[in-house]
Amino acid sequence: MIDSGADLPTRATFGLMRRLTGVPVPDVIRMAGYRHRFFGTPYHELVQDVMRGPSDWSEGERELIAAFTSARNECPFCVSGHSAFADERLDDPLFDLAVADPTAPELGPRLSAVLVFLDKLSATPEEIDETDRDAVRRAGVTESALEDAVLINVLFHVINRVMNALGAPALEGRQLSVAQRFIGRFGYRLPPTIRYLSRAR
Amino acid sequence: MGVRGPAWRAFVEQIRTTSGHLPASERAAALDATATPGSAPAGVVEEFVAKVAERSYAVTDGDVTRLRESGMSEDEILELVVAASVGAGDRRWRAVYGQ
Repeated sequence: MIDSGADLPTRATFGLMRRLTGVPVPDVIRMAGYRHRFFGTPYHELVQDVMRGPSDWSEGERELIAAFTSARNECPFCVSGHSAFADERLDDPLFDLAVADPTAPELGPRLSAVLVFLDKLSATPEEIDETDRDAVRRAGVTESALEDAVLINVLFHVINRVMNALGAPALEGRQLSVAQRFIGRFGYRLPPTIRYLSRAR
Repeated sequence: MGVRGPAWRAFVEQIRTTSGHLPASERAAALDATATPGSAPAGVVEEFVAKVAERSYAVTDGDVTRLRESGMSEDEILELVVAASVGAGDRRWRAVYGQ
């Protein structure tokens, strides 16, 4: 479905990526390239900005928020990638601990408070109230840091569902290590040829 | 809402209204159904949309085959998945920041 439908320049870009890396292009990139104008390009611009742009959260903390959300949504593809991206950027690997117990003191007060907030937002969004917001503020999370965390959570609620509906399996082995190198070097923007096509009419 | 909120709202509107394979009204219906809690699924499309929103990990090839057999193309199904997923995300956004 997501191989045959992409336009010719996008298929050529993916062919080049396959040749350069020696592994299949990850499902999330193939999906984004298939309908890049409709979904892939605008979605990944949002992800790039909130995951790599200015923020009170470090890149590792933002990856942990993404991986935590993906774990709550049971998305094996996103969990495999973002848990690895988080743990390689944090001083100590925290993904397993955060998923098991978001109140764990090792996470620190700000990260712990925001994960508890996002846990509730993920499971029972309409029950979020001022008490929950106050708990996050008291832990030292600024309004802009909360907005960044909520937006990461929201964007991963989207992509977790898309990847699950497409049946994307977990990244493993060389495909995971290539994804780690790729994300480290280029971030979340789609390849320039695809972004150019998205703007062309 | 701070600096990034308007970008999210613009993205939701684009998914809702841009021209595509699925009529924008059907995409908006899927997005609104998953952005609003308690919407009751009424048919095969609505059931699929609800499953993507509530239990996406349980979506099977059979679910997609049923949509194909009902006459939907792969492009239309993909837009339905995206709209349902964006609606589920927007439900969380609106729970914190409103419209």
